[in-house]
Amino acid sequence: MIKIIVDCFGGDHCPQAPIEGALKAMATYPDLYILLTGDEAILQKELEGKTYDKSRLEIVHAPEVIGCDEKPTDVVRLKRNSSMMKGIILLRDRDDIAALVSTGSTGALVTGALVRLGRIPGVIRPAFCPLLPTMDGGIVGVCDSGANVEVTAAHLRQFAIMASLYLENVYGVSKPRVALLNVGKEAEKGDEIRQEAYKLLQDTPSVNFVGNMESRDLLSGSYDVVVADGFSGNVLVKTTEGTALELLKKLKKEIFSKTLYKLGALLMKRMFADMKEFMNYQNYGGSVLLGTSKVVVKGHGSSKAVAVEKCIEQAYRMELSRLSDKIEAEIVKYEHYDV
Amino acid sequence: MMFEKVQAILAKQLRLDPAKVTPASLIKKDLGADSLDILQLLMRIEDEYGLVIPDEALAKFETVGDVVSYLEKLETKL
Repeated sequence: MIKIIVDCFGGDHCPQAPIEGALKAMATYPDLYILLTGDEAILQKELEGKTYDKSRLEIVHAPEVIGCDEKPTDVVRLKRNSSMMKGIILLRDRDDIAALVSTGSTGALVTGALVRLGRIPGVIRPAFCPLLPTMDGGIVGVCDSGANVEVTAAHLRQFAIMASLYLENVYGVSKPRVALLNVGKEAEKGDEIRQEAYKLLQDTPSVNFVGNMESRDLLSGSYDVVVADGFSGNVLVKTTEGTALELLKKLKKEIFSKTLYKLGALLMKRMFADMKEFMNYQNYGGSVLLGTSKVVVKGHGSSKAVAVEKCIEQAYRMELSRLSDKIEAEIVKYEHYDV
Repeated sequence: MMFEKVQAILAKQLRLDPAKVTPASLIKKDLGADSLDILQLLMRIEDEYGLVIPDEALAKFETVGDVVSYLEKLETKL
């Protein structure tokens, strides 16, 4: 049985979306056991009338609520009975639980995972790795996309190792092509950190390093993993998503501006629906936090049931592939740098 | 008592033989821990005793003995 905690009080559609997502995932995976954290009375009420295997679901009472403006460090230290912190502590203390899925505060989740859950031995800094769809129908992971604003070249090398193992073991990508986000393709481009990271990545046999990547090529399908500091990675992902959404809006506006365009669009209705599905982030699950001692998946704050279900599926597959063990085995081959 | 608790947590967290963790061990130099490891140890102690260790205390710990004596003092105040 694979046991996964689902934080039910974090996102915009809580607790309905996490509950529905969890029940859908349970229906798909007969060996999945879910622990819902949150206010027990509210969760019980939400579960009333729903059909599910009661022997595979339990509620963990966590009545404290995290406010939108609360500092992550305060949440971690003072809100032990919030649905997120209770989940992290439970994950740390119980060997039989594999993972945590949350759509709550990113800052609190990263801080909580770092100081309460801990890291895989040898990992300097855990990093987020969300997935985006590429133009050839594949996926690309961006690591890091927000957990570490400042990094060293050694951090970037570890991000490359972890994300490469993630794509290979969880998504079956053979020898993932790893690129370093930079302002140009040549080896000497970028600041000292990027130049040093370039050399380190060339000297890392377990990483299929293919060189620098410019941000415009992210979705080209030429790369499976893009390594970046958390600040640049976050900007890269959000700019890409934002540009795609704005282009779709512009397209829609133009179509509705002329009758002839509308007629043409009618013929292409199916194609537009497919495009919308292709670009819908809810279909791609959440951003996994690579490098923590147990699996942590962060869903978008606006995640609906389908997105939460995908996040649970990601956590399930990560546990099944024993990714943490594989990361540990690979990381220890390289020199450990202190923070 | 407190030493044994700290020793067990550190050994498990850092995957070390408990015998290597002594009161005189330098947490960073001898045990290979970093600042996040120390924070993680203290959070676990906080959870167990239901207390909050002030931020300014966190920077002062060099040896395992420093952590133990700080926690012993805190325990007697409870």
